[in-house]
Amino acid sequence: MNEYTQPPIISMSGLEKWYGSKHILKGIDLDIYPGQIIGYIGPNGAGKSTTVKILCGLVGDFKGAVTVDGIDLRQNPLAVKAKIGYVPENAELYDVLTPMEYLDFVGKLYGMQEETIRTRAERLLTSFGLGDNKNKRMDTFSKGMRQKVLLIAGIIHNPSIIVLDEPLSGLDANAVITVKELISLLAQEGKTIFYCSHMMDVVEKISDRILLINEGSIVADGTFESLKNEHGDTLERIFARLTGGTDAGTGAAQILSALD
Amino acid sequence: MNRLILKLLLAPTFLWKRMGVDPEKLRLILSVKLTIDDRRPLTAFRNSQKKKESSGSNIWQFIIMAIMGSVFLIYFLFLNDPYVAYSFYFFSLMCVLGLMLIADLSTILIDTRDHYIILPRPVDDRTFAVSRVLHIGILLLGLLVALALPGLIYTGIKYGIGLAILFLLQALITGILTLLLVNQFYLMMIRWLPAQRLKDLIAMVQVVFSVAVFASYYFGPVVLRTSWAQQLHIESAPWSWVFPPVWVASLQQLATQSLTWLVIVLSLLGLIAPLVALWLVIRIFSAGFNDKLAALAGGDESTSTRNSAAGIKRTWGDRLSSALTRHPLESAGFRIVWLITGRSREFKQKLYPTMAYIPVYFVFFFFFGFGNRESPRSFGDRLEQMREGGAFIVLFYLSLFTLMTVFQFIAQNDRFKAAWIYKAAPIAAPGMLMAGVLKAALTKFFFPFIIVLALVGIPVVGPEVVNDALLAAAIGSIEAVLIALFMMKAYPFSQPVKQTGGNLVTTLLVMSFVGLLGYGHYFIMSYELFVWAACLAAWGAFAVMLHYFRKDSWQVLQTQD
Repeated sequence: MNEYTQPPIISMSGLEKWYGSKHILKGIDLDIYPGQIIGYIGPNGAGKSTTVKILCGLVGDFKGAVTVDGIDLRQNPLAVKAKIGYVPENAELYDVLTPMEYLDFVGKLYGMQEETIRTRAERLLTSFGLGDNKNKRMDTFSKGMRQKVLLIAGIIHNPSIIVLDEPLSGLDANAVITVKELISLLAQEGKTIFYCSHMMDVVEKISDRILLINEGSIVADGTFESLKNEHGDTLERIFARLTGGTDAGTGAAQILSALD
Repeated sequence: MNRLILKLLLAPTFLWKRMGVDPEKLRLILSVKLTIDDRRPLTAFRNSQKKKESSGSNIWQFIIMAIMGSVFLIYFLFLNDPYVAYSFYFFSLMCVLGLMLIADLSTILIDTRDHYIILPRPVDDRTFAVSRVLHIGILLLGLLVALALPGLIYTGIKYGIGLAILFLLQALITGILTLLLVNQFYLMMIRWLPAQRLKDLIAMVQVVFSVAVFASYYFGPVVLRTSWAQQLHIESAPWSWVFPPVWVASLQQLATQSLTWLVIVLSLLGLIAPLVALWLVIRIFSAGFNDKLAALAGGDESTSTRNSAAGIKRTWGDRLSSALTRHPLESAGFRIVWLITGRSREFKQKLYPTMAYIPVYFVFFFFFGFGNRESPRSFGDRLEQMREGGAFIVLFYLSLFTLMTVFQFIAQNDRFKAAWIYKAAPIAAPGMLMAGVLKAALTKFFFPFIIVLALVGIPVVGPEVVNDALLAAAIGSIEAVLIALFMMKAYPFSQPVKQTGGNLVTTLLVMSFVGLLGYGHYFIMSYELFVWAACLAAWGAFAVMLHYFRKDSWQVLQTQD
C-alpha cells in the first residue's frame, strides 16, 4: 500500500487512561497512515469514545504519547485540533440558530474568514439537500437534518483528519449513501477517516482497516479480508467472538424466556 | 414532610375515583416526582445550594419565607380597618405564592420529559393533569406554612386562638385558590394557544408578574399612606367584591363583626371558589392537555417555519459584528451572544425582569424617591432637584444591573452540550472570543439604556447630560470588563441552566465598586470640563483593559468540564 511509504498521520504509543480507579485504556499502540479509512469498533464501554476524545484533544491527562501529523498532542493541542474535523456522537448544537449562523460560528472558532465560511457553507448545505433550510432555525429540524449540519460543521474547515462518531445515526437511506460516498471521496483526496460505529455492515463496507477494541486494548487490527480469514465470516461474528459475546443467539433467547 | 402531605392527600381514594382519577397511578407518579425533587433543588427555592433532603423542611428557605411573610404585616400597622388589612394581606400572599408558582410551574407543569416517560404509558389525561397540580400543591404547602406563619402569630396574639385557627383555614384556601388560578390560566393557554407561542407567553407572564411584585414592594408603602387607602372600606367599595382575597378575608369578618349579608355572601364565595376552581381544572381545562404537551415538547413540530432574517439580509447583529469586531474569534463570540440571547427563552426569562426593574426604579425616583417622606415635594421640585443634585446620574448606573444579570446567565443554556465545539476547535486566544462576548453584551444590554436615558435627559436636564452619559458609558464598560473577569467562568452557553444566584460576595464587591465610581461621577458632575476629562480618561482606561482582556489566557475556561 502506498500509504505506508509516508510517515503515519496519527500515532499513538502506550496510550493509557484512568478515570479514577477505572482503567479505561490499557496501552494502545497505533499508527494510522494518510488516506486510510479506519473503522473503529468495540462494545459499549470498551474505550472507543475515550480514544476519540483524547485524539481530538477533548480529554487531557492521559499516559503515553499521541502525535498527529508529527505534532505532539500534549505539546500543541491547538495545532492538532486545527487538523481534525470532529463529528461527535449524539452531538448537540445550538438549535435556536440557523445552519448558516451555526456554521459561521463554528468556522470562526477555527479562525476562518466570514466570506469563506459563507461560500463553503452554502455549497455544502445545498449538496446535502439543506439549501432551502439554510436560514431556518434548527429547532424545527429533524434528527437527520441536524446530523447533516453537524457533518458539515465537521468538514467546513477542510481538515486533513475526520473523526466520525456514529455519523449515520438518524440519517435516512439517501443520506447514508451520500455520507458513505463522501467518506470514500474524502479518503481519495488523501484525508484520513477515523470512523467509530456500532453498525458492523457499514464498517465492513467502507473501512479499509478495522480496529477492534475491547476492555481498553486493541484485540484485532487489519483489513476486513484478513480478519475474515483469521476469525470468521462476517464482522458481526468476528466482533462477537473477540469481545466475549460468544453467541448472541443465546442472549436473545434468554431475554425472550425472561418474559415468560 | 412532603410524603406525609402526599399520604393525606391520597387518603380519600373514593373521591379521586369519582373525579375520574386513578389513585394508584397518581400515587406512583407523585412519589417519583417528589423523589426527583429531593435530589434536585427547585427554581423558586434556590436559597440553598446544597442538596437538600426535603423541600419543606429546609430551614433556611423556611426563614426567608417567614421573613417575607412578616413584611405583609405592615398592612395591619398602616391600615385602620382590619377587614381591609386582611384583604390586602391575603392579596399579597396570593401574589407571592403565584409568583413562585409561575417560576416553577413552567418547569413542572410543562416538564417535557414527561412526554417521553409518562405519556407513552397508559395514563389518562385527567390523572396526569391532577398529578401535576398536586405535585405543585405539595411544594406549595411547604412554602405556604412559612409565609403565613407571621400572620398566624399576629392573628393569634391580637384576636385569640379561635381566629388563629380560622386564619389557618383562610391561608389554606388562599394557597389552593392561587394554585388553581395559576394552573387554570396555564391550562387555558395550553388549550387555546399554539405551543410555540405559549412558551413565549409564559415567559412574558413571568416577567410581568415579577415586575409587578417588585413594583409593589416599592410603591406599596407609599400607596398605603395615601388617604385613599386609609379611608377604604370593603362595604363601600363594590369593586373590591370581585377579588378572591376579599372573599377569604371575609371569613375572618364572619367571626368578629356583626354579620352583614355582604360578608356572608363573600365568605361563601371564599369557601366555594376553591371547589369550583378544582372542578374547572379537572373537568374542563385538562382535556387535551397531553396532546398539547406533546406538541410543546416540540422537536418534530414543523408548523413553525420561522425564517430567520439573518443570512437573507444583513441584520443589526451582522452589521454591528462587522463594525465592532475584527478577529474571527471575536466575531464568533459577538455573534453567538447576539443571536442566542435574542432567541433563548430561558435567557430572556431571566433577563427581562431585571431590565424591567429599571423603568420601575425610574418612576420611583421620579415620583417618590427624592421627596422627603414627611413632606412630599411637588413634581416640579423633584425635577429641580434632579437637575441640581444629579440624581439623574444614578439612573445611568442602575442599568448596570441588567449587565450583571447578563453575565450571570450568559454561560448557561439548555443546549449546553452543544459547547463541545469549544473544546474541539483550536481556540488559541480565548480572550478574543470573550472580548466578542463582552462587546455583544455591552452593545445589546447596556449602551441602549444609556442612549435612551441620554435622549430623555437632554430635554429634562439639559445638553450637559451628554458628557455624563459618555462618562457613565465608559465607567459601565470598565465595570463590564471587571464583571466579566469575575463572573464569567465558562464559555457562553456552555453550562447547564442552574438556579443559583451566582457569587453574592463578588456581586456585592463589584456593585459597591460601581457605587464608588458613580459617587465620584456625582461629585464632579457640575464641573463640565472635568467630566469631559474624566470621560477621556475612562475611555482610555477601558481601551487598555480591553487590550489585556483579549490577551488574557482565560485559564478558568480550560478547567471547565
